[in-house]
Amino acid sequence: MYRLLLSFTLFLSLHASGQDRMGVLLPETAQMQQAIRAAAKVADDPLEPAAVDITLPTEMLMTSDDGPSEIEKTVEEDLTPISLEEQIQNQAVQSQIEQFGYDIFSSAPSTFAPVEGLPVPPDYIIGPGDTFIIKIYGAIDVEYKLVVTREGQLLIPEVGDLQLSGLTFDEAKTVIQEEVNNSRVGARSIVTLSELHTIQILMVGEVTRPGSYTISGLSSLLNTLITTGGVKRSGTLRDIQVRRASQIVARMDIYDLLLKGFDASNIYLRQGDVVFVPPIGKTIGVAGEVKRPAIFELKNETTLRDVVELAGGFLPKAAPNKSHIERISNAGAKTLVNVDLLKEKDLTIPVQNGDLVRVFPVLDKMDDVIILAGHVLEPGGYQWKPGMRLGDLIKGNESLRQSVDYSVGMVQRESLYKRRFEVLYFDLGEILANPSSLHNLTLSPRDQVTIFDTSSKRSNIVKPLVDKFEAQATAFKPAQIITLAGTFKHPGTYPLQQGLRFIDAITIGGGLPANTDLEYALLLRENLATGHLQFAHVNIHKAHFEPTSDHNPLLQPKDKIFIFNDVVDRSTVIKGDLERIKAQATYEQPAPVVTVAGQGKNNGEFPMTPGMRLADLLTAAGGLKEEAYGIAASLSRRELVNGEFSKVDNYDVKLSNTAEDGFDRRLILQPYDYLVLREKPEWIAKPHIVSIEGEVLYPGKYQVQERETLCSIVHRAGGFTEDAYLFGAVFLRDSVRDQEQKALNKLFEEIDDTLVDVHLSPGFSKDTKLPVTQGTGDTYRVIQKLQRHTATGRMVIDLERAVAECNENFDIVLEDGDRLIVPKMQSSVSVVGQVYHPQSHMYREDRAALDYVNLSGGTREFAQREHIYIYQANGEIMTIRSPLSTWGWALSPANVEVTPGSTIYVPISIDRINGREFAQSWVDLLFKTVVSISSLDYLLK
Amino acid sequence: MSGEIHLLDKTLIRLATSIMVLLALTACSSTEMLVEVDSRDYGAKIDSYNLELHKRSIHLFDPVDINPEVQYKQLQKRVENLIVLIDETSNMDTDYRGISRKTYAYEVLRRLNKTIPNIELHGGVISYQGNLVELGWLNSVTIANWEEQPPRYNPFQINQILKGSPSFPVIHATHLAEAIDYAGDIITQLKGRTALVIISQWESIDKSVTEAIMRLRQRTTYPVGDTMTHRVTPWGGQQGEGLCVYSIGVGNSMSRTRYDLSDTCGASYAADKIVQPRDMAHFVKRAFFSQPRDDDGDGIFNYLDQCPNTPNGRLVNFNGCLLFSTEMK
Repeated sequence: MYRLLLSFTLFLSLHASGQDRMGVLLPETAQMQQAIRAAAKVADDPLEPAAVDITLPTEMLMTSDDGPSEIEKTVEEDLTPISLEEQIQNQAVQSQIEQFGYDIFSSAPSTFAPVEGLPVPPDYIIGPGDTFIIKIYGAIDVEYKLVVTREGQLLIPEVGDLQLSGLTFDEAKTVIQEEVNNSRVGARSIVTLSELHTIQILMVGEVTRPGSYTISGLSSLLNTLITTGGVKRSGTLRDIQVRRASQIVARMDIYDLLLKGFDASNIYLRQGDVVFVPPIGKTIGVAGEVKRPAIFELKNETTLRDVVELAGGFLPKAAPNKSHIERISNAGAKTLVNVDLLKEKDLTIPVQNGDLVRVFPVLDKMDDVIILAGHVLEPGGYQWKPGMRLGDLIKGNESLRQSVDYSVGMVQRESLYKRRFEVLYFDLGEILANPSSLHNLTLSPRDQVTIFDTSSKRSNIVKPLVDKFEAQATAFKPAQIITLAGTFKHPGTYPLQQGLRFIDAITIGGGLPANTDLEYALLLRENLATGHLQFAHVNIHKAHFEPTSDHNPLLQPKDKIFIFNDVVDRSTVIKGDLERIKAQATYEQPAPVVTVAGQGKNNGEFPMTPGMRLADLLTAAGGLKEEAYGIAASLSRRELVNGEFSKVDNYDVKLSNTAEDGFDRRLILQPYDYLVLREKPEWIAKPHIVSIEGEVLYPGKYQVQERETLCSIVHRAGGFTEDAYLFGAVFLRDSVRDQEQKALNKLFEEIDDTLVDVHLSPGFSKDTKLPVTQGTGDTYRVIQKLQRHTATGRMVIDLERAVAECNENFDIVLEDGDRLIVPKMQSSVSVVGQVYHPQSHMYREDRAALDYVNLSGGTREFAQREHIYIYQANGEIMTIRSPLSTWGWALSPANVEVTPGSTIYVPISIDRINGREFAQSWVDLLFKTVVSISSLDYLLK
Repeated sequence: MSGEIHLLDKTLIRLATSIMVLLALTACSSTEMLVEVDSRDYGAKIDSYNLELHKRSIHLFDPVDINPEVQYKQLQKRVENLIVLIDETSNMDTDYRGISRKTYAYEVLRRLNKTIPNIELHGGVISYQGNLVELGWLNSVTIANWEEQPPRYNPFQINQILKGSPSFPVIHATHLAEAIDYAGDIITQLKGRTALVIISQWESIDKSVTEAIMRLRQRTTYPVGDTMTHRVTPWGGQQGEGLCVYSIGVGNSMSRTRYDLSDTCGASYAADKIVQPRDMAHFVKRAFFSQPRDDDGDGIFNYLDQCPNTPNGRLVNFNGCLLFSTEMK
């Protein structure tokens, strides 16, 4: 079966060599190849696929270039806003317009699929390659499929050859039918065309892909243009020419087609036609509020009216009376022509090549409107009526949301003539309470009313407005803004209203927070002429109660107000501005900075305000701390001898404020003064408490003075009872405990290190080497047990001599947290450790250490007899080291005296623990601690 | 034969070569020996740093004139009386910096006198000598002389004193503390505030002097019988009684503070640190003058005040004019 594939397909010679040439096969190309293969299968196809020599421009393989053309770029530059008014309207005018009409080429047909079943137009010119289907019936019944030869003949069997080339389809049909009728009697015939011939055309000029094309014989000009990629943006759309045998047979204006639908000039192409696209002619851009904003090519259009017509007329929002033409003058400069496109006269203005017509929208504004914004229930625009006041807009609480700030609201007003902004603040509460008050402002059209709430960040709300003010500032007209800094509820930058005073500014900042320092606020003012900064000290208290005093000054632009509370670090808050003040110091004018150090509530650098006195500096510091020495302070002053030689003077100044002593407080400060507020002598930040427990008459916790001694405190506690065992008294001190604890921690660290050594090092000798697990395991257990204990901080004292005799050599100056525990008389001596029967014994004066050990059954096998510790009742530990392992000799431990309440500890032999000689020393130390701690337990519980 | 000679030559050559090598080595070593570095003990001495003292002579004195400053700034007098207590005991016979300490002490006094501007001060110079110890007699005589008319301190008198005029009182005391006690008898009878300048041997300013000064302070500041409390003598005021003690020690070049109580006015100086013109000017300014005048009480000194009659309680700028004057009320 024949398929009509071939006749509608652009033939491309894509053989193997072609594939080599083109590395990439686009889907279209692949499809074409398929088509060619399919065509090759048609056995009786008289024509080989035409080997058309087309050199493909590389662009063809790329996607079509969608980047803006040169013309578009130029217009785009023109469209960037040049005047303020245009900037305002800019969002309404497209920033980019395209050349008109070219987008019909942008959607190239996705396939070259043949158009099947299309009826052949009667005026189709028959050429070589056309395939006729001739069905003869009547006398005979036969069907032929015949191709017009290259000579233009159709060879019909049993009829003969017919010269058909050059005839129209209708003519050819007639010729064939007549001939068939003539040659065959009684036979009738039906003639159709099955496959059309192909023609070769040449696309030249400003086309995207110039070159020679083989196209279907049934191709129109436009069709061909579209399928071959179309016209470049530098080519004309209004005069596309078709040349046939050096004659121009058609001139096509695509605008006619696009704008009016005329396609008269869209002729069918023939073999050998040349399609020529001349360069683009004059262009004109139309942007803005027209129906078809684009760049148009001019042909016959000469006036603005024609151009507007091209652009399809105005949109409803357009304000044609305020249009612009941007034009390049003869001198080569850009000019701007204002035209009223509603006027007949202006519409006849001739246009020039390169003009850009801009049609602006009507201004997006509403004149008779009030805008209500902020913390209200129904924000938005409201109609303005003459004489309207704020109270008419804000009816009452029902139109306000929760937590609205009643003390301040803001009206943003645009001056009608200069388009400059100003603000007016008002007292919302006053308006609601008293509609006739001055705060109930009369509104002007285009006012914007903002209602604040108490919590959200107010400076963000006013930020856009502040930005506007900053934008409209000039050298002679500074930005009408003030800054609130420090502990305001709503710090930030605010617009300044003419006549605003200090107290008003505080209201704008959300009012005074509860713990504000009313005595000290700062106003940083810039001298608008010189830029010189200066701080002034303002007393909020005075400003509030004497609204017309100096402390409530009129504010001027760029003022900055600082308020402080007890908590904030003042010098940090003002640091940045103080640095600016310092930076403007000169030879004649040293930086007015003074410093407070020591016990002021706020230490650091403060600005020296004019006429500042010592008392003012104390105010700046927020007063003295509790522990400050209130009588005198030390003032260091930089003195210049002869104005040049810097010296430092130190003065002592009185701080007391009595009539006779107040002179120093009125001392006038000088730059760089440095005031040191001292701490009270022997300041007691925290009472010193000493606790006395046990056998005293009135045990309890006593507060002691500096340098009070044990003797006096025991006497305050009523002295000892009769049962008191002074020798066994325990005196505990925190500082000692800390020290001990530190030593203990260090000890543990050392032990850990030793443990590591034990694990790592080989045995002392090969014989004594034990399995690692045995010795180290025990040592580890000992250490584990040790770590549960903490230092007690016991100090060994001689209570008897210290208190009973109040002997200064033995007395102790008490510290905070000291504890004295006086136990009852004890009459026992305990023996613990490696004895057969650890127990306590009745103290008897005639017994010595060994006696108690022997009474407990004697030492066990593993006991370290050389190292028996006697822990005496007063806390002393006696280490009994004898070189001999026998007891009972003179000077031997048997004769060491034992006191009542003491403990005798017989340690286990170190060798038994781990068999390591070197470990002896630390175990010794450890046991001391263990003994010490364990023996105190009964007292401390 | 020729072979032997050859051998000999070789030996000679070797010998010569080795001698040359040796010489070269010796030369090297001797070169090294030539590089010598001064031996240093690396102990910094005070004088190594104190270059300025060497540059400035103690024998020449070109006083800084502080009269213009006093007048321009309208500095207020801090004290009404000046008593100079000068050490003439045998301690001062030793030399210091090439001259006797006594000379040095009088040089300090002379420079003080030259630097003090033209203001009226009462007082005088008292010297104490330790050679005669008859305290009772001296006590009565000295006080009797001063009771009648406290001498006006003026440059002329001082110069007379320096020339050896017998007219100034001498206290016979072996120790400075003692001398201060006696000087106190005079000071307590003076009206107004007093500066006591002690010029003495550095070493004799010790703890006993501190105590003597405190005794004296108690006598000058409080009525008899009042308990000594921790009080400060106001230094800026015009009114009231008061005493500032300045001690100048001869014999030490760097130390400044030997007697400097934190809560009292006064200071102590090493003589070397005070005899140079601008140091002396600074001392005089500090000891005899307090702040510049501020008549309208706006906190801006008169000499800076462009608006001299500011109403009370108004805020001013650094020129003494109303800070917010331009605005409408």
